Order: sequence, then structure tokens, then C-alpha cells
Amino acid sequence: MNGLPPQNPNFTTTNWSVVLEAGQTDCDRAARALEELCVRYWYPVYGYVRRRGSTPHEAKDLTQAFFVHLLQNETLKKIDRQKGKFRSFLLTATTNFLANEWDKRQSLKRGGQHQIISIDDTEAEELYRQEPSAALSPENLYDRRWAFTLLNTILTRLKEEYAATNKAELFAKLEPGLVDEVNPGLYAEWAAALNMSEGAVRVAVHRLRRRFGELLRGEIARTVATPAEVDEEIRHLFAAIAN
Amino acid sequence: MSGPKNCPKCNAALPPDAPGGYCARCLLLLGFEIENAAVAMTIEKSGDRIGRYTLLEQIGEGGMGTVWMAEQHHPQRRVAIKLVKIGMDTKQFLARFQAEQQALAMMDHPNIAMVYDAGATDSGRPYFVMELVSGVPITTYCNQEHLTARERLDLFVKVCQGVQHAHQKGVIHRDLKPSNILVTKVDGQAVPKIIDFGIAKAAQGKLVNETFFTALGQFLGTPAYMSPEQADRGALDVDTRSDIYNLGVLLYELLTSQTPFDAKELLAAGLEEMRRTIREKEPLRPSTRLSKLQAADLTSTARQQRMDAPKLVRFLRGDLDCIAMKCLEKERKRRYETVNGLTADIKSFLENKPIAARPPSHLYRFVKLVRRNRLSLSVATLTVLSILLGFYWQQARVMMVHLYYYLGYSEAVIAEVNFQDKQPQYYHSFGYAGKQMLELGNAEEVPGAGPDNPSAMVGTFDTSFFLKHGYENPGSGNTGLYVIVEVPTGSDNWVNTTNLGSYKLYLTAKTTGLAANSSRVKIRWAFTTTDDSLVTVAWGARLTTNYQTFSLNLADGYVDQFTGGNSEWEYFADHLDKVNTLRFSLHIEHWKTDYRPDEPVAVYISNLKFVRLMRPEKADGNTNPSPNVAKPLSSQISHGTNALFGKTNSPSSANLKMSESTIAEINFQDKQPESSEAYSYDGVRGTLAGVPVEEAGAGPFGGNAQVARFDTSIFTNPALAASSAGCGIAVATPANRSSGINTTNLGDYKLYLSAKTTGLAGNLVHGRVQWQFLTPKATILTIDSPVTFTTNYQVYSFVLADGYPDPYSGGSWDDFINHFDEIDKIQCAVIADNWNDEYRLDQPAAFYIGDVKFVRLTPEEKTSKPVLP
Repeated sequence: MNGLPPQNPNFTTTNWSVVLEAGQTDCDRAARALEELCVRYWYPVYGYVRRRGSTPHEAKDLTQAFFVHLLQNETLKKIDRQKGKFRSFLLTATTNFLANEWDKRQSLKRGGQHQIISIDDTEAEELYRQEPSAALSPENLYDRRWAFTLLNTILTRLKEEYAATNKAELFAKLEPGLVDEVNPGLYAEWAAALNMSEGAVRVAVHRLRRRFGELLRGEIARTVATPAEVDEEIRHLFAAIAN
Repeated sequence: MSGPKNCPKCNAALPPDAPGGYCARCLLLLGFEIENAAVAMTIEKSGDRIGRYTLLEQIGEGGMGTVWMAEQHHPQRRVAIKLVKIGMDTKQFLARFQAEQQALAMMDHPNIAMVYDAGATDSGRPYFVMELVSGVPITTYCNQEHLTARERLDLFVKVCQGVQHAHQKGVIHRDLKPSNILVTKVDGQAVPKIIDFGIAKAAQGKLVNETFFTALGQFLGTPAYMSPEQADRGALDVDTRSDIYNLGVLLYELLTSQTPFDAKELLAAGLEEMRRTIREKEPLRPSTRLSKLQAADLTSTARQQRMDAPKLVRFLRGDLDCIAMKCLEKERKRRYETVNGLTADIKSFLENKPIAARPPSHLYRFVKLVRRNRLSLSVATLTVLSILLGFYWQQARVMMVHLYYYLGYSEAVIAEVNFQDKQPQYYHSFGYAGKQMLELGNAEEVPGAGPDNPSAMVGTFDTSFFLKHGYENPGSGNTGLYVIVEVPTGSDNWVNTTNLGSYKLYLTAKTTGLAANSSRVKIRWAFTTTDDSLVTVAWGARLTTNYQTFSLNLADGYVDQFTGGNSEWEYFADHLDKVNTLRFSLHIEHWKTDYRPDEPVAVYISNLKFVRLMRPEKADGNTNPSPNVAKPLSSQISHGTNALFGKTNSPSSANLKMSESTIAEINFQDKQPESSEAYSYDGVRGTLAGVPVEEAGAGPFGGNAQVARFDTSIFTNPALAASSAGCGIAVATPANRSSGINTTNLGDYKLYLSAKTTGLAGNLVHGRVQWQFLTPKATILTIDSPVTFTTNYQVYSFVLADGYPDPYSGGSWDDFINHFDEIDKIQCAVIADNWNDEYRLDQPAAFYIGDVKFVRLTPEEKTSKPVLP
């Protein structure tokens, strides 16, 4: 076997700790790092703003305005290095933004000409419409959406990695093995379909899961301040999904 | 791919947007499996050496790993080694264990097995080294030895003493269950030993989770013992009260040979259902559980305790039922606060003394029995929907339910700041109209401008701005005014807030000169540290030109008005000692001709108090303990409000209090509605069809509530969009007057009111709460106050004192006082004036009137500050 697919080259270039470290000194660098995170995680913010009672149009403007505000040097400098995870930072920042700035902003500029992230109205509302209608608080919705965004990102990346090493077919076949307790019959079936030995399929499933776990931890590591917080973050998201 | 409906691994229902169609939780767990995939394959055998230990014989196997008897060489002794097979980061695990080690080392108790050491095998598998206890699980022991119920309780008390010792040392077990409590004989005496203390902590709760999620089939013990908070949040938020729940399950099992929830049934129901059951379902009382057993099972259970069946049931019924059920409360603040409390009750029971735990009230039990059919409400076509529910209560006198317990908490002041003597550090106002914004300037101190004439910060505005932009086309855009006042809290007033518990926050501010009657305003409070804004509290109020007080009581659990939600409340409590600025802002959203820019505006922040809610101590000494020493809402509020609403503003008289003599007090918790009706209003006033029903478990704290369901489709009618579509729910009740009301004396009065709702609307939707007091002839008083609705349970409480009559919108205070004794009906309504899609008529809306109290204020001599627990 050729071993695991190569790591995504962009994987470790930036993360939340860069923002925390560079915020005081190198605002441009911090802003770039933060922007990259924001582009990935804009939807949880949108969902949160919507659930707080804004109309789609307002929510889009507010989300846009929020990210403009967030990436200002003044805001970057104020980021508390003790504050921990990007996820909770983003939620707190959104909350404060909505509470303190909203009214002022709505008379001044609603996001204005600046656009940090590209929000597609239809896409955003399409996603929002899928949200469970049960009594999810904005905060619950935010966490849940965060986790789903994260997992979708990882699934996509995993698929891309396999595709990059010409293993798209293997991935397509074994993907259900990520969360299933694969029974022996299924291994045999996959083995036949892929023209591999059953043992090799077992190993491949094991590697698929392992790689998923690695990518997951890697991505989470980008959003927390220290590697030690990765476990805690997984647990938090695990619990949040239940709610 | 499109996923199946349920996760093939954990059987949880999959939402339509599940990532890739897979179960998100199972995907997340893959993040834990990386380091352990290889480890799990390693198999130890006897003779293997692990660190300083040689494995001798495998003595157990469970969900978390294998247990070995082992030989330690220095010092030479036999120990038990538990090899953990769960997936965890070994380094972190060991770091946590070492952090915990000091606490573990301090534990020295005959009922606790020592944990000596921890390490990792060459393959990275973590292990614990423990005192070797050769015993059998406590439940097995009791049944083998046919211990009587009393003997079982004696043994149970010893277990409690061990747990209490650990709690005193700051160690929580987190996974107490019979297989972790082994009974061994020492000098012929049965001695229970609790094993695995601190291990779950080192594993950061993962043990419980892990046994729960990955070893469903083989590890029946844990789900049956899992506390609601463990089931709900994994083991992330667990404190000593989780151990108390576990002890409750143990007590239950010792006495009935059954766990409150059958482990096999829990497992058979699937993961989600299991979690729901543990979180929500009320278990049967032990005696009830026994009496529902098949005759043969009951007989054999009783025989194991050397008793006949009816006698055992009688033995359990009453006090032991209460004690067990108090441990098993879903809400942990309703359990015993400490293991000592539990032990004391068991001992009292054994000595035939009264116990502190009380049975749930008649009503509470009634609620659990009665579950009426829900009525589906078919809705007529109406332009505007309002539902008016008239509830008539029977006069039956029953004890208060859940709420009673909660309200019985006394308050320990954590921090209190009186701002009367502090000048704002920042006072800023600006007006805006459409796209234009104008700084309206800062304020200056003006002697005699404040309430009762002390100095106040006063801001004056250039009215021409509003004349230009507001009056010319009122209502056309956002025209309004913002006033922000910031005051340093003075960090010297703040104390350590690291203790866990329930909290409550009182806030008051005052203004004058803002607007004519009944103009709406948004009030926000923000707490700021040097680095950060902690929480913002937002709510609605109505303005007048009079002096008025904006006061707010927030209790933990009612955090609706926190824009940050529960997590923010916790963060707030944890960081309160760092708060250095309190900001009060007042925001008039829509400028109207009623506003009075010609008058100066003064704003005070007057008082802030943060308290911890404490369960009242049991009545002392020889007197019979009163059935429930808890006090109703009103007295609780008054406790806080005396300090807050003192009528003087001079700092030196902060301790001058007004005492309250109750004129009338009515508690509606105990009254059941007799009938109810639904109406619409606006143009076509008529019956809306359908009757709300009483629904068990729909109320706060799991109590029952009147629940109404509406057909939301009516609100999607486009014709409604432009109209003032709204919804109102009202509760009316006969006022059950106290005898001997004398309202002829003049003086200062105060009225306390509280009501609760749930399921009304999405977060922070503005609406109104309206109270009306009716005599047979007229409505003598209407109080109308804006609020923000949420989907959570929320409490609408108002404290109205003579002199601050701003929220009155009809009738008069004088009428109220003069005709109070004629009142025969009190009605409370929540009204959603402007319908929008945040309202949740698909959800049940439940409504309570909580408490009404009318008091006369009389000045009291200056007293020292009350000593609080």
C-alpha cells in the first residue's frame, strides 16, 4: 500500500493561534489568518443572526457588517489572548456586535461597500430553511451549524485527498465505513467490487477512519488556541449536537 | 449519498442535513480514535511487566478495560491494575491524572480504595494502580447475605461517608455504581470500599461517555446509573450532585433490587430515547416500583431482605421514597446539596426522626398521573388573532409545586454595588434620523436634578434635530435617541465567584424627563471587563416624563434576557470579579411627538446586586420542622428589593429600609383551571375555537400548565402582513381575597406580580404583559408593560411601588387601593402585538399566574445588614 494520501499543503499555514499572537503586533497577518477562518465559518454566524430574529436581508447585511467590524485593526487588537477557542470567540463577538453596534450601524452603514465574505442570498436561506424548527436557541443553532460545517469541510477534504491520489473510487466505496460497524459480509462485498483482498479492505477502512480523525483534529486545531483544547472542543461539539 | 434515517452505529435519528448523510456525533468520535486504533489490539497476559508491576491474574473486565491483580515490587504488595482501553490522549490523560493526584492522595477513608499510581504501557495504553479490594459489588453482597433494609441502609450510610469525604477533598467520583462499590469483610464487619475515585475525572468524564456510547451491549450498569446531566451533556458539566444522583440510584436498587430505569429497557429503546428517558422521565417511587412488580418478584425481593412483601412496601413508603426521589431529581439544584444532607436524612429515618426531604405536592403527583388528551385547535379565518383564555380556578388548597422549592432559596450576596454615590465616567447621547446621526453631547452634573433631589448627570439636547428629522415625517424611518451611561463598578466590591450554584442578579436604574407616557424604549445593561464585554441584558420598558425605575431581576435558569444565553451567564458568573464597568443604555427606537427633548434627561444607575441562591436551612432544634420553610416569590423579591428600591437615594441611608406588612397575598400555583375559552379580537371579536388543555410536564420545572396550540397557517395569510396581526393569551382567576383586608390607611403601597409562560415566540420578540384587576363593576387597574418573549420559560415579574406608577395604563392606583377588597378577578395576559414569523404557534404555549402580593410599606429603623447564609 502507498500509505495515506499526502497532507493538504495549506493545512498548517494559518490558524487561530496566529490571530491570537499576531493581533497585537502584525494586524495584517492576523487579519489574513482570521479572514480565512471567517470565510469557512460564516454560515454559523448567519444562522445565529437569523435565529435571533433578523430577516434574511438584515441577517445578510449584519453578518457582512460584523465581519467588516471583526477584521478592523481596532477589533483585532482587542482580541483577548486568554479567550480560548475561535468558535466561542466568534459567538461572543457576534453577540456583542449585535448588542452594542447594531442600532448605531443600521443608521450608518449596513455592511456598506465592504464585503469580507461572499454570501449568496439563496444559499444562505436555503441552508437556514433546513434548520430544525424545534426550540433551538440561537446559541445551540450556532454550535450545531458549526459542527456540521466543520464535518462537511472534512468530508470534502478527505474526498479530495483520495481523488488526488487516484483513489476516488476507493473512497466512494468505503465512505459508508466511516461510521458503520462493517459486518464481514460487507467487507467481502467491497473486496470483490474493488478487486482487493478482504484484509486489504479492512486496512483501507481503518485508514479512512484514521485519516478522517486526523483531518478533523487538524482542522479543529486551527480554531483553538492550544493543541490541548482539541479534545475538549470535540466533546463540546459532540454535546452540542445532541441538543 | 443520501443517508439512512438512523445512524447504523448509534441508532440516533439523522437530520436531513446530516454532514454527508452521516451521523455527526459518530463522525466526531473518529477524532478520538486515532491514537487508540493500534492500542486496542494489544493484549496483555499474566507475567507481563508494566512499569514496576507484574501482572498476575485478570480479575475483571468491563466497558473501560481489564482489571488485573498485580505484584508491586517496591514496596512489595499486591495491587489492582486497571488497563484502560478507551480512546483518549494518553499524555493529556496522564497530565490530568497527575493534576488530580494530589487530591487523590489526600483522601484517606476506610470506605475509599486508594488510587496509588497511573502510567502508560509501552504501547501507550493508560493504566491505574489501585488498592486491591477483594470484595463483591454492594448489591450482590446485600442479596447474598440477605441483609434487611435497615442493614442495607447502614451500609449505604458508610458509602455516603466515603463519598462525602471525597467531596470535601474536592474529588468527584462521576461513575458511582455497584461495580465500583465493593464490600469486603474486615474483622467480620462488612466494609464497603469505593473504587476508581478520580479516574473518571482524569479521563475527563470520558469513561461514562465511553461506556455509554461504545459498549452498549456489554456494560449494562452505567446507563441505569447515569445522571440526567451526564446523559444530557456527556460528562462535561458534572459536579458533586451527579454523585448524589448516583447514590440515589444505588439506594433505590439496594431497597428494591431494581434501578429507577431498567437497564435493558433503556438499551432496547436506543440511544436517543435512553437519553431522553434519563433526562425527562420521572421514575416511580421505590415503594410504587415494588408494588408494581409481579407477585413472585416482589416476594423474592422482600425475602432477600427477610421481610414479607407488604411490610417492605410500607417500610419504603413515605420517608424513604422522599429521600430516594430527592436524590433522583432531574434538576440538580433540587437534589440534596451535599452528601451530608442525604446521610443526615437516612440517619434521621433510622432513628425515627423527621427528615428534611419533602414529598412532591399532591398537585405535583397529580400532574404526573393526569395526562389529558390534547385538543387540536381548528382555527377560523381571522384577520387578527388573539386568544383570550379565561381560567377559573377551583379553591382547593394544595401545597405549591416545584416552584415552591425553587423560590424557597434564600440569597447570599456575592456582590453588591450601590451607585448612588458614584458619578458616571461616561455619559453620551446621540440622536439619529434616517441616515443622519447627531452627537447630542455629554452630560454635566446638576445639583438637585435627580430623584429626591440629589445631583444627577443631566444631558440636554438640541431639539431642532428632532424637529427637523423626526416630526416632519414621523414613523417613516428610524428616528431615535440613544443615551449611554457608564459607571465604574469599583472592583473592591467584588468577591470570588468561583462557587457553583444558582445565581440571581438585580439591577436598577432611574431616569427622568424622557418622554410622555407609554413610549417604548429598549433598555440594555452591559458588563465590561478591561478586555471584554461579558453579557448584555436587553429588555423593553415604557417611558414617561416622571421619574421612573428600570429594574430587572434575573435568576439563573431565566436567562432569556441575556443576549448571550446560558453559556454567557456562566461566563459572566465566572468573570464577575473582573467587571470594572457597568453600562446602562436606553434606546428610543421610534421618535414620536410624545418625546420631550425640551426637558433635560437625567439617568442614574442606582444599584446592582448579585446573589447566590441558597436552599434554606432546615428548621432548627426542638421545634417541628415546618413542612416547607421555603418562602413564596413575593418574600423573596422583597428581600432583594428592600435594598434596591429604598426610597432614599442618599448613600448614607442605604440601610434605611421599608418593612412590608402584607395586605393580601395570593398564590396561584395551586389552583387548577376549571374552564377556559379562546377569543379573537380586532374587529371580529369571537371565539377562536378550541380550548386549551392542561398538560402534564408542560410547565416550568416539569409541572403542568395550561397549554394552547394554534394553527399557525392563519398568520401566513398575506392579508395579515400589513395589518397589526397579533396574539394574546390571558389567564383570569378569582382573587380569593384574604379576610380582614383594611385598606383605609393611607401610606405607601407596593404590589408584587409574577406570571410565567413558555413556548411563545422566538428569542427577543417584543410584546406586552398586561395585568388587570377587576371588581364586579369595573376594571380598577390595568398594568401594561412591554417585555421580550422567548421560547424558553420566562418569568414576568413586576414590582410596583406607589410613587412609581409609570406602567399603569388604566384605572388608577387610588382606585386600586380604595377598591382592593372588591376585586374578584385578576387577569394576566401576554400579548403579541405585531405578528411575525418568530412567533411559534406550532409549539405549545403554557401560561401560569405565579404570585400576587400587595403590601403596605412602613419605614423601619436603620438596621445592620442582614446576615445571609
